[in-house]
Amino acid sequence: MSYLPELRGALVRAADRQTGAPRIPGHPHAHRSLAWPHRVLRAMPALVAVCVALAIAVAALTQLGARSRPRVHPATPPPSAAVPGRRSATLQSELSVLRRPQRASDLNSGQLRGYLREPQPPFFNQGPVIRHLVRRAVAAPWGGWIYLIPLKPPSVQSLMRGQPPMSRGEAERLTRRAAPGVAEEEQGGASVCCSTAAQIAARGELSVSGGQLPGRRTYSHVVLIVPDGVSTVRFTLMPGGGVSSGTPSAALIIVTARVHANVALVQLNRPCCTRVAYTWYAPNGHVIKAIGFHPQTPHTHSAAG
Amino acid sequence: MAHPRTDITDEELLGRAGADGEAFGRFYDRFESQLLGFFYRATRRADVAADLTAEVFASALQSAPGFDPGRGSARAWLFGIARHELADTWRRGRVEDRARRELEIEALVLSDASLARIEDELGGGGDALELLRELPDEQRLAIEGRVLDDRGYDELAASLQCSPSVVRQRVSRGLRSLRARLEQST
Repeated sequence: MSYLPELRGALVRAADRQTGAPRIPGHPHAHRSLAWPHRVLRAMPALVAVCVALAIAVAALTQLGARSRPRVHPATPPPSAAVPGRRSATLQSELSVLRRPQRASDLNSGQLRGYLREPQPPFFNQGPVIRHLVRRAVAAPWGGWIYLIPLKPPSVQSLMRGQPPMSRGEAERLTRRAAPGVAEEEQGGASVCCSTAAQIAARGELSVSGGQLPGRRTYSHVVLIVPDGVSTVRFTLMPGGGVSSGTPSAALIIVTARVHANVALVQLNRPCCTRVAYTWYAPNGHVIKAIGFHPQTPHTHSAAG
Repeated sequence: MAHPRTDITDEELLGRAGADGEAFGRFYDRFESQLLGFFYRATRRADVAADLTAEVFASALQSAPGFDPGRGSARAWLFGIARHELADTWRRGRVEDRARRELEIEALVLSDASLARIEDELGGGGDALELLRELPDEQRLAIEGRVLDDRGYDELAASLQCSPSVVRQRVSRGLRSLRARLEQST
């Protein structure tokens, strides 16, 4: 006889919530998936075909986006070069926003609905979404919300079945040190994927996007996911040119942004940037870390943070 | 009609926890009294032992998808979480409830009867524990680490700064000595 039967019951219910498979009243051991109506089963071939088509479209768009979108990753280390000693870190241990209870609004979003429905991973060469960890983090000043979408690492089999398919050896090499990663998703489709907990701790996850609004007004958005303990981020943005191209330091844009829900945001009403550096500050003002190029004498330029 | 398997291993139960809540319930059944006893011996308080047990099982549920049977048994893995939780509790001076909050597990309400049962049934071994304190330090530490805390020989060897075979020898001698003393005292 159990010493703490209430605890046992609560744990079983929590486990069921995690599986997303609520029990059917009157059938304590039966999962809802066993009781799908026949019309759903009859429609299954069509549903599978639609899902496969969606998955292929998403993979293609992701690849196209990766080629065309001006993403900047200063000194991005490869996954295998993660910070020593942080390999055991988990996304939840680095990002407090993932530790708060999930709310209905975290999932109830047209922006995410497609990802959450798809049977295939929404991002290229990644595993499925860890649904119970999805969080709506902060509202973006340009509209919509920034979402954090944790994903499982890909399996060897999924990489071997992927587009293009990998050899077993290559897939095993890729998955050997794989860990769950977090994707950042903004309204309008800009997204970055998928930094692991160790990479978040080492450098955060940076996304830079931009475009031209009607009336030829250009804009830029900078989104950085940072680990717990970072309260402010000072960005140094280098528009055009590059460090080695002799761009005058006066052209640098220095912007400071406060961190909310592990996210720092910057919006510029101008094109941005070929290089990005940033410094993390603790709540007491101490520098935690400086990442990216280090201009000698930057001059502050007005910008919206 | 299919009958439920009774020979399913701890590792298999843990592996199924991600898809079947009842599998985690069976895993809980196998280790509840062991964990409660472990914490009760360490804290001598039934309410704290129950609180720690709840947090460890919640952490185990969260971490079950990352469990790798190739790196050790489920029992060793669970007791690893337990030792970690206990150490954190000593350091912070309170039992953490992070995992339970994240899983939205309601607060544990303990009745006097539950607490009394834990004290009566899991607080046993008092005589042996008294005798254990009389053993030479090297044997006592080896037995406490291996038998009470379920730590591996390699890990103990590292913390006691000797080889694993020496730890085995100390555990064996200490248990033999305990047995002899218990027989004399009864």
